[in-house]
Amino acid sequence: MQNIILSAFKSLSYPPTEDQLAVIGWFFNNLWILRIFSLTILLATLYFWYKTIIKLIGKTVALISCLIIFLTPTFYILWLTSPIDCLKIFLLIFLVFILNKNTKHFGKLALILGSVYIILFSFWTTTERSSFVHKLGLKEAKTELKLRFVAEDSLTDPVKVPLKIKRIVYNKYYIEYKELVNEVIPFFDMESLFFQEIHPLEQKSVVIFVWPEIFLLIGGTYSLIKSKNKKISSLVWMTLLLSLINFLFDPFIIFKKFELILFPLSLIMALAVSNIYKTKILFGKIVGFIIILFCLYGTMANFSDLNKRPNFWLDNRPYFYEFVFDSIKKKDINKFEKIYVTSLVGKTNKYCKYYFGTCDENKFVFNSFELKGAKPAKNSIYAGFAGEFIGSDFKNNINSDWLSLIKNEGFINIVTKDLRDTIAYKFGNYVVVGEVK
Amino acid sequence: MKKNLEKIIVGGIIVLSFLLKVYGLGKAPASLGFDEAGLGYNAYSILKTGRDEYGNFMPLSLRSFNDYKPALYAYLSIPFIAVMGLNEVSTRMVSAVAGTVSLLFLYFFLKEFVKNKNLRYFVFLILVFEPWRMHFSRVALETNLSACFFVMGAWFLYKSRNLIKQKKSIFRAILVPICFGLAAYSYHGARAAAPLLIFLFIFDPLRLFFVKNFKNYKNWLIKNRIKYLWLLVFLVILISPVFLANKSSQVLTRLRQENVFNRYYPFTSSEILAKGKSVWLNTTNNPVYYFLGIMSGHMLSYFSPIDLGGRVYSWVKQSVQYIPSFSMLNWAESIVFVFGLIYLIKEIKINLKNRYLIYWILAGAAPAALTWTWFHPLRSLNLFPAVELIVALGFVYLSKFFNKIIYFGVIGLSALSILFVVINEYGYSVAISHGEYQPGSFKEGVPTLTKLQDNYDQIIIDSPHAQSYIFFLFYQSFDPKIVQSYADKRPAPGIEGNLNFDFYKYKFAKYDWPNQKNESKILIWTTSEVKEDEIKNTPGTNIIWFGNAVNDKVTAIITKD
Repeated sequence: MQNIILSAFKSLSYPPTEDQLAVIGWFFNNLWILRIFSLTILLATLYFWYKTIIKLIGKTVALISCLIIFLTPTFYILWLTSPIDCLKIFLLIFLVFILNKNTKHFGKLALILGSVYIILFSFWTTTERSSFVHKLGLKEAKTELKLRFVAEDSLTDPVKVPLKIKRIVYNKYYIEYKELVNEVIPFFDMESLFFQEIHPLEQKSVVIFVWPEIFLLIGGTYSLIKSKNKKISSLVWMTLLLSLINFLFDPFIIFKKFELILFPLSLIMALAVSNIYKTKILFGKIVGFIIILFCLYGTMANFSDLNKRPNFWLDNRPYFYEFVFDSIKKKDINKFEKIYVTSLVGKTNKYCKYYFGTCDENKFVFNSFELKGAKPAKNSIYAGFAGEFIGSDFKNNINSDWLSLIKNEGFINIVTKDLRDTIAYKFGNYVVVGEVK
Repeated sequence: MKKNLEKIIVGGIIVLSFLLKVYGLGKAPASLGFDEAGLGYNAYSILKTGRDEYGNFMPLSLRSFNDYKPALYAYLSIPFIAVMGLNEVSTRMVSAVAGTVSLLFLYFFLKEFVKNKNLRYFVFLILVFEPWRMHFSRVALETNLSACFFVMGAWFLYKSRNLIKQKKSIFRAILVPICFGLAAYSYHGARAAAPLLIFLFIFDPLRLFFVKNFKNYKNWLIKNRIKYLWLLVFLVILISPVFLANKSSQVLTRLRQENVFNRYYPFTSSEILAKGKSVWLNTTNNPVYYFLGIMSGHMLSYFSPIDLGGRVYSWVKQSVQYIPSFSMLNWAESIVFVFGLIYLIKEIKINLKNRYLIYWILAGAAPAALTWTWFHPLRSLNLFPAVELIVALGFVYLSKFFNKIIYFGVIGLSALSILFVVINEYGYSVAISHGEYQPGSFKEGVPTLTKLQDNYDQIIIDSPHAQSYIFFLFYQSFDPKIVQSYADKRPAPGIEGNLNFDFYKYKFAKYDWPNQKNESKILIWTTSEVKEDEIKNTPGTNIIWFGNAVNDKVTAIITKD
């Protein structure tokens, strides 16, 4: 039974992420208990979102909005992989709910408190910083300014512009303004929000909304603007601004930067769906229902795709560690003096603890290695990317005969896996685990 | 006096814009792209012989690089080339003038959409100096000329929306197909965009969302709109010669090369298509769903703020349409565009005026959407005035929330941004995009080659550019009659890729010094790696180096007596 479910929902067998490993270490012993916990708090989030909207506009819109969020692949991936993000979203929506329940003009207060909360949360939970945070100082502006002057000075026959005039805009303050505005513009990234399924840049991320939903957004925007319910507009604007703050301060992958936008956009779309049902204009009704059908088909198509090829949609680093440690597990590790596992793509020691319980520090070495021109240590296991065995390449063009070359180095019992997306650029896409006697 | 004030302000802005567009026109962009050189040389060829480089008499489409460019740009360049000679400035002048003339019609539209005069002047000033307006007017591009005629046609179409009752309206209405026709003779895209805009204008399909039943719509259509169909008929008649003069398949060469169907079929990723049954019968991931997604994305990308103001795609970066530091709009304006869209959606029901902007963008995007690229400014340039008008609506919407301090802040920042656009175009943009698509060294080296070539029997050209022959024709104003005499020996229509051909003393071949050094009276132009010592040690040889816009030593002329 379990196998049938796992083959139909291949994504459910996705190995743990670093986020999950961090929390497993703290409170949970089992990945699935953690996932069920994440799902529970996301469902609780939906409950509080539902309660917030119901107070402002009514049951139907609230229900549709929650349903739209529930059906997005992002919602599914969040509870499957990102417990910390689930917690962040839950606390924020709970805050909005409490403020909405207890204060009259909750919008501004929720915006201020929510912003502070998002910023503090992002600083507290990770040491990584977003590019927006990096650009807040003038350091990057100064570097860009220097580059611009160097580029322009290299021209042999330039168009003459007096330096004094140039300096009016070629100064660190204006460049800083330019840099910061350029951090805000990607918030209006229609392709990442609605066209991830066919993204023009083939960007790796999870689908946030399926493409037909953009038409619901357009219809919903019309309904929202025409609505005399100021409270609902206020909720939409407030949550949109909070989404922007999250977008600017979240340092992670694009769908996580956009995770809060699920709420305002689903609300706008819910208004559209509700109006499609109510409208007496025949053409609007027909087109509306066709769009809804397409949205439902898109949702089904995406879940199908996600479960056919989770490695296409999801981060491949957990797959790397699953393969490496499962392969090592199959060997009698007591026979080996050292086990070298690369740390090129993440916190290897945490994964080791997850898969082995305890990892002997005298036996396991977690570091990237370079075996080209060096002899591998005897009586050891090496696990890493092909490039680490035979030499890296600046353009990731690893010698096609890499397996023979590795064997020539004295490796035996080699197992390999081809990982897509080049997660260790310069070192090739093949993961290799091999023994040296 | 008040009327004059408006004329002075608007006229002043337009004149300033023209002066900034032509200032340093020969230096920025640094050197010509091959399409620019193609247009310029064909104009020169027609000026001198009445025929294009292939010997076709007064053609409607220029075969050029087998891409059958619409010829109007070349014809309009002839007076400038006749006066100034064949050079960068004379070739680009039509684009600069077209970019300036289109501003007048942009202002006419602004008068319709922005009622507050001061706000209108401010918005006009900002829009006049949008990055795309500065950049595209400084490059010889048929599409910029087309955009000028298109905005004129769009204006006259818009003005004839309240029925053709007065004589003035009839006059305006006649100008609609004429202007659109000129746009179609300037650039391929307008041949589809113009009829589509008229069609959408007549049928006003968005109106269907606001009428209770089809019968009402049908009655309205018959009563008010069918009479406009003659505009469409007239336009089709006007542009039909372009298809009849050449074989229509040749005119559609670009579409055949670039269309979305070839590139993306079967639309669904092959990894998830069920094997063993027809692609179209796939139930879970049907190609129709993905195809419609691609088409919707292609159309809607022109409403996407990040595409308008931030993101630069690889196919844009590798071409003359690339504006370093920008996409099409200035950064802040791409955000204001969002508010313009909100305003537009709010007012969309009121009258055709607001829906017209949507139709304009859709019609302008349609030809580009049929190609494989997601967002392609060059192919969709006709729609950008409509995008700008939505930005203007954004300013109208936001101005309600402005107090005096914010006003001054916005004006100050906008003034700085305008200055940045101009300086960027003169300097940084030139330094960054002097590469393959605006190749250097031809400009620097060909005049020297011209002086030397009479003393040599053969000239070997070793160049990575697939159409580099055109630079040798352009930069020495090569006698068109000689070029025309080689028409039969050139790559046949339909052939893509390397279109260089041997002519006069010129032979396109790889640099091969060990063999070539044994020849006499030979001159070699090469961008390959050259061992200078080895060449200098060979008796009777000399080497001259040429740099490009950023002073690299990229091209060598080697002479062997």
